[in-house]
Amino acid sequence: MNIAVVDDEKVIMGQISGLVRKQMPDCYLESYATGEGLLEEAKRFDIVFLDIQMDGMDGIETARRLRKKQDDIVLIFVTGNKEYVFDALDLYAFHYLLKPVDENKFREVLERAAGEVAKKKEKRGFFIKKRNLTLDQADILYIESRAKKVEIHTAGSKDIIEIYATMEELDGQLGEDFYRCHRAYIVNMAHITEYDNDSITITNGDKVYLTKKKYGDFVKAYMWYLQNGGIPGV
Amino acid sequence: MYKTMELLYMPVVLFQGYCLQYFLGSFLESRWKGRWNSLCMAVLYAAGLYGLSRVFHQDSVLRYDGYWETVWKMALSLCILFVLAMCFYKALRPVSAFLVITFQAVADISRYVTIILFSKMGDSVVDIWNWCVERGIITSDRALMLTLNGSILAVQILQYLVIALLFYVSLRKIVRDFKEKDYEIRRTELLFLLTPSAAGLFVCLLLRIIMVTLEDKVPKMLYDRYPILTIVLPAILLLSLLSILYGVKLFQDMVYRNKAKSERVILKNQVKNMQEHMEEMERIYSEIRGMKHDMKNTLAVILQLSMEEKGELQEYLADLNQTFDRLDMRFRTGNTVADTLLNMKYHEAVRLVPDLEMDTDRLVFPQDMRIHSYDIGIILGNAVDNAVRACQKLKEKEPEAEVFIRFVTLQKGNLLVLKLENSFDGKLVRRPREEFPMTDKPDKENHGMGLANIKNMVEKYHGTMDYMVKGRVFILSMMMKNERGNEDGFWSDK
Repeated sequence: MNIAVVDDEKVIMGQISGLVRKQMPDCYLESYATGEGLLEEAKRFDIVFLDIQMDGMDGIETARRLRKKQDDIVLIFVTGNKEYVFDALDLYAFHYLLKPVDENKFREVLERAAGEVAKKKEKRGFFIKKRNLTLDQADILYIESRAKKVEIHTAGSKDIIEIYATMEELDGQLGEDFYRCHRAYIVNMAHITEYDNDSITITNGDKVYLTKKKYGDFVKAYMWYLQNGGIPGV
Repeated sequence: MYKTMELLYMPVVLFQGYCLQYFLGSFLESRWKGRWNSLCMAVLYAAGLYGLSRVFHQDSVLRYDGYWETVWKMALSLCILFVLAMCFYKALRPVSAFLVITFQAVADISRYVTIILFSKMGDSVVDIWNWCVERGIITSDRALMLTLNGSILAVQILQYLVIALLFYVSLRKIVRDFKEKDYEIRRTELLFLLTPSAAGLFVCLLLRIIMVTLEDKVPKMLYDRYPILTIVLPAILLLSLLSILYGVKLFQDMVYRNKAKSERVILKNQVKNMQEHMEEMERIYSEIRGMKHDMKNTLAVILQLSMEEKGELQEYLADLNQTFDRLDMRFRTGNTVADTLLNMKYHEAVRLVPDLEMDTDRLVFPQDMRIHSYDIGIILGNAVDNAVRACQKLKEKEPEAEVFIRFVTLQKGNLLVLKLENSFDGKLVRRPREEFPMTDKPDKENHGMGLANIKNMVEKYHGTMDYMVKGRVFILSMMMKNERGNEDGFWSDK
């Protein structure tokens, strides 16, 4: 795991680096005094600790540029004043730590972040025998049943894959991130942008039906999905 | 042949017994704990029914002479039902009368409807075989007897299946529709509920009495004389069944609406409370402004006092310090109402639980909150109240225990997820078929509203709420869409 610590205060930088080493002795750790320094670096990092108030480019701007470069990065803001966190809310998901850094909190946040990285890296395969094709489950947007065939809509270049199978079979093979929202649809909860009382909108803009009877159950399932690692802090 | 019919009758009564324990068990609390309890009652009831049919020779719906028997049988089976309900369940409630009478009525109606519809079918089956004989398709007597017996048996089995299906579906509909099972029914309401069932029961009795007449000493069925009755009678019976079902549905809707109304009254009160707190907040702020103004004066006083007595100065500074403390905002969340509320609740809570740890580091509300602040206040207020109560209870039991309340907000798109974790004693009384766990406050009518209020609110914002127990941590999770909610709420009650 590659971790970067960015802080213009040497003391804090030292403290965080020490805590990281203590918790993950075998990770690759690099520290930077400025945001520019990090951005110039060609290396990819999995987790970045970012101070918000820094001389030169502040943490939020650094984060914004960092995201453009590499969008699967896990950010942990470190700030002395919670009010600064409000400014960062329009960014993607992130974690944050308040100064002075509490050791217990630090451990919890780093664990969550590491878990998230692991989840992003982990590929859960989905093997289609008849086509001799393995898909990454995370790439599946949703599955639609059409008469005897099912269409697997994916985010990747393969787009729509048609196979002969039953929804029940697929539902059993797919992980917990998937929800059977209708007789003819299974959605990947990671790719939901919006839902209302009879449909779910997928990240690619498609809409799938949501059975009235399942509305309550679906919303609950989605809520717990979001809580349990679907998205990180804030 | 007769023996086979007898054998067929056994599963039917057993099924009725099963339905009885399902029906009563859905409404009433069992007297004894144990898995075999309900099974035992089902078997007892089946035995009772079977005994009745033996005493009164046989299931004699279509015989001429025995209508007194039917009257007795009905009365006796009602008695059996009452006795069983009393023995196996805590049935000293008005609703038991409704349950017993409705059960009997639904049983009778489904039986009569099916029997009348099938009697024609039995005849036509015989006709078909006769026609086959005439055409020479069936030649031997033996073959005729075999096919005849077989088809009669098949019709009989089909008939029993239809009875069972109609019966079970109706009961299930009643159980499903009757949502407020703990509601104490008043007398007029009981009469309203009982009327359709009792009417149905008496229609069945009436049918039984006039069904068979003697014509030249040959018993004749009523619908043989008036063939149209094969349609009219089942229609009447089915309508009466429907009136039972709709009566229940209507009654439940009414109860639900009343409940919603009273919940709304409570909500209104809470909103009023919130407004008062907001005013309080305003006052604190204006006090702060006043103090800034007074800084010069204060300094002058301090200067003055410092020249004079030391004790007095200390007292004055202590006073001043206290005033500052009172104005200090301990919690910052990005939402003023939430800040105020948390401060207020915290000060209340530490009086009850001095070492309560309230962690709001990860509680951040977005700047462009479209969710009404009042609503956030109601949600947070109720959730915190519940959590504080749980912590207090834990502290009473185990003074050494660590007590905490942790808040976390997550945001995804326009969804806002609010999670509250608190320590509790790990004991949660879940009520079967109820959404929320039992309240532990003595005044049950008005309390236990907390979670219901939260639910109303989050549903207003097209969200949801749920809870989870992880060992000794209670996790309450709420989700809302960050948009203006429907003003009326109760958006997805169906």
